[in-house]
Amino acid sequence: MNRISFFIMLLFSSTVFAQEKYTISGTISDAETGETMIGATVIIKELPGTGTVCNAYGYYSITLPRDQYTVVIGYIGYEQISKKVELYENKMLDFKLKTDSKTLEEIIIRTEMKNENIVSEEIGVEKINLKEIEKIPVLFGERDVIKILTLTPGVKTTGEGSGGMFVRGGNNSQNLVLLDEAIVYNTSHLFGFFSTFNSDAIKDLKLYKGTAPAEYGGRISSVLDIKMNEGNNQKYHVGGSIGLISSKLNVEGPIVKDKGSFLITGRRTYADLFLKLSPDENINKNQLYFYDLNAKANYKINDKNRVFLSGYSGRDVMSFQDRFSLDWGNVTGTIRWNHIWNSKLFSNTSLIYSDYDYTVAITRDDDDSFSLNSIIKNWNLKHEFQYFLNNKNTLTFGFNSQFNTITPGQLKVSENSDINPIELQDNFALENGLYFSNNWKPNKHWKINYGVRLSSFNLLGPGDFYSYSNGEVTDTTSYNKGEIGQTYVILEPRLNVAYILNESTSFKVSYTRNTQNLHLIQNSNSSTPTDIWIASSKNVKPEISDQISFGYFKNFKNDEYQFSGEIYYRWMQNQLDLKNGAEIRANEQIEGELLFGSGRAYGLEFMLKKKYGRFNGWASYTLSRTERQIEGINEGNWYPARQDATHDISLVGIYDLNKKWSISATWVYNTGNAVTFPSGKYEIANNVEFYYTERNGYRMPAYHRLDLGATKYLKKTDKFESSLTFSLYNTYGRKNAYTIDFEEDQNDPTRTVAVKTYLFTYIPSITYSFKF
Amino acid sequence: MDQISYIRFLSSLFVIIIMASCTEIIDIDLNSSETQIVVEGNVFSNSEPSVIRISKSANFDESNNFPKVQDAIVELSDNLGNSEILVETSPGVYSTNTLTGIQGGDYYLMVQVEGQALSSSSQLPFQVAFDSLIVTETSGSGGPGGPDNSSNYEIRVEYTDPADEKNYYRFVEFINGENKSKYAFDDRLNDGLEVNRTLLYFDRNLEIGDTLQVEMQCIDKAVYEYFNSFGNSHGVGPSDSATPANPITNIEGAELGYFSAHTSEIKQVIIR
Repeated sequence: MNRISFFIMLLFSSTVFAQEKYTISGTISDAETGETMIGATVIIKELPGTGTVCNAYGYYSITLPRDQYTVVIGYIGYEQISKKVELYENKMLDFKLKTDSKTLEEIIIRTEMKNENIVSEEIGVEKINLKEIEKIPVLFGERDVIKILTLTPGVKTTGEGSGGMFVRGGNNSQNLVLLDEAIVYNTSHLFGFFSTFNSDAIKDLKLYKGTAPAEYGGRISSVLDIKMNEGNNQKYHVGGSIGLISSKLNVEGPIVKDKGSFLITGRRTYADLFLKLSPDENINKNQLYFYDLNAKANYKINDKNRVFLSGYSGRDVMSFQDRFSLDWGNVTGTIRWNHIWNSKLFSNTSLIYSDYDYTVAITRDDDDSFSLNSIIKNWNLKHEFQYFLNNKNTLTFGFNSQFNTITPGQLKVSENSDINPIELQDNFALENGLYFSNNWKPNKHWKINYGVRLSSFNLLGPGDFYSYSNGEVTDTTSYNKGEIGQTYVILEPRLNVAYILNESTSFKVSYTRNTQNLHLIQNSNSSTPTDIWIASSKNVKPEISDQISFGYFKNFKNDEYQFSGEIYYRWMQNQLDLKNGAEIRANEQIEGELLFGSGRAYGLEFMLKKKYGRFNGWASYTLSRTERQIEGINEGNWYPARQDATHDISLVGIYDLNKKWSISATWVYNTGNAVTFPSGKYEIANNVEFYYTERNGYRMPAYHRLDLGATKYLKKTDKFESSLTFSLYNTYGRKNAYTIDFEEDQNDPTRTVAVKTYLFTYIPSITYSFKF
Repeated sequence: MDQISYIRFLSSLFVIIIMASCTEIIDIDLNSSETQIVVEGNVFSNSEPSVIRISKSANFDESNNFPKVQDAIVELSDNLGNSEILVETSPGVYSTNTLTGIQGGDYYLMVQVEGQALSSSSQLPFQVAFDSLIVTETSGSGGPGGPDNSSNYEIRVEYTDPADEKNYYRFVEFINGENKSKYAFDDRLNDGLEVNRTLLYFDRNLEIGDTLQVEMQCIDKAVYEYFNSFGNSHGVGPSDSATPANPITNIEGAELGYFSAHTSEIKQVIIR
């Protein structure tokens, strides 16, 4: 290792030996809970423009010439700490920050790094601190981080119950969603009405809209990196909430005070308990619920070593009158080891497991039933170094190796079934990534993150791999265990550059290439739990996206108001769609049902944010277009993707009235999704059928909605805290279209009418939360 | 497989019970389209005359009395060298006098209409016996969105699929002589088995005294693909399984319609 770091030192710095320099490093955490603080800032008062930000484990390292300094530590919502340091040797300094008790006052003490949005090279990034969004109004009292992300520019939902998010024109399945580094394959509960992330378990999240640095890979549209809370290492706490359709409970506390902590959170909906109240046998025999369980523990072995263990399990269960059942869920597990080699070299090693599975079962008679089961799982080993070379260069390098197993479908049947059992062969694929990036600050005007990721993909035997022509199998090749059926190697350059004009203005530019070798096969852009994942193969090429973006960032009034404007253009290659009438269930030759093409997306995004003070919130506007061109669809012409929305506006406001009450409101507006409506009709087989001309040539009606929320703090002492949250979803009762169907007019059978189904007008909810 | 229908049904169950949805009629300004020729051709195996219907598509806001296409030249021939010019028996309906379908035969259709030449071919499969039509009463209401009658019926069909060959089936359901719904099945999952299949139809409204007829047809692959790709052609929304599109026609020169040479066997049950 030393030899490598010496070599890297030579490569990246010629000044390192010229001066006597020492390093200050350490961990920053919350004084009350012991949670490490991702993104806390470390500033050197005497050297304006010199500073650093804590990494994902709250670790920082900064190297300076021998001198006397004042180190200032800051984090939003916390009191800042200043400490005089005489730097004549390497120092390890851990800091503990206290919650800012002055939050409600008009002016709060400013830390100099409140302009981090300006001086960071990051572009196309949304960071959400769970504390900031606590008061936003929500549906059924369920705070949903994915729904909140869709209020930011460039992030879209296709309406209630469609699940997930669409980032800069990409599909839902092209988002890399990581929970403590583990992939979460399906982020939706109950057909997309809720997300799998229990906000009580989440500490921090960051969304890269196609501009992620080299350590991330595997999906082409975005990276959503979610970190779970670690648990309080000072005191035991129990918290929870009781809402209309779900309840949550969490327990946290020290394993050994100051050294380790644990956190367990659970959530379960009880909509099905209402079903049980029904006297109707057909309703009370149905099941419909989901649960989530998050657990995390960490232990600091000594100053140099810390281990983490985290896991998640969530499942949806539903069944209809004992005749049909469907259940699906994700499981993830992560073991991590942080090691501080020396004051400049930090490493993290993770072993990660995650899976997603679903089972559909249909029972007709006692002896005639079948079930279909499908699983995707992976083991991932990740080893990453951060080398804080000097105050101009921070290097990140490492590798990850991920072994994927896909069980596309096992059809099990009872003895007398009229269906033949089918066991599709498992698919095995190995994805490797080798990456390097440098965060380089040549001077106070420039900040550059450049890097490269080498992604390789191997499709492995055993198995029969098919070649197709016009959807029919033309050739079959068999591979034995361990043999490589197909290999793709792609180099992915990543570059983010910031030109910092002054402390309140910067310009940024970025270019990123991303690739994806696991593809979700779905019938449309709405995801269902039974969508199927397939790996790249001889026929299915890796999806590739190239994105360029430019941004202008400007802060006003001492960083109180933050403005950003970004434009982007994204090219997408090897996009997939399905043939009309495709058979995707238990189909060995599913690749024959696919169509291939390309995509493009471009847009303009504005955001004005007020981050500090009694009133805060943001306004965001997106003007965008996203299109696909698939051979075999729309006569091969470009057409808008379903999630294409020309205009998208979100307004979010939170106001702290006094110490007892805070109120909030959100308003959203977007152009309706692109849809295919008939342009004519005809009669066939005694039915009136519809004639379609263009793919997605029409628009759903525009979607808009106002939500209001209020939080009342009932009690706030050191021993016990409680609050009531009220929400009114869709306050003015807009009848937003959920579906539009075309049917025979009941009054005049010779006519056809359009019928709109809408879901919610005014949904009030109330949630009681407590913590002791 | 019926699971897609079930999933859509479950999601609508969720939406209706938990979320309380409502519907209303809205105005949508739909484009007009160029009029299309629609051909519906059937060759039967039971010595019935073959019938080709030709009509035109209409714009969405027009009446459902679709214009019939008259004075077309329609020719049907088979692989044995027989051929016949069909006679227009009523406006837009063309029938054979002598040529009828036999199992295993290939049939060719040629249509000349308004300066367009359309053609198609279809193979009449060998018959698979329609073993039984079973109607069972299930307790309780059909389901959300369905008719609110106190009882509901499950309709099943039974047949034995011949092993080691590809077979395609179409079932047509009539209630009191009115065509209600259509189903297309293949034997991908039950090749060679005794098949017992539910005809899933959540909006079925069947009452005591009604006559239920189910016709079983053995069809060729192209006709199966046509009916299978009908999928969801009536609306769009998050719970729908696919983007609507025109079904894959087997008629060359036209966008809409099908030509099917098929067997036909009808079973009837009177609901008591």
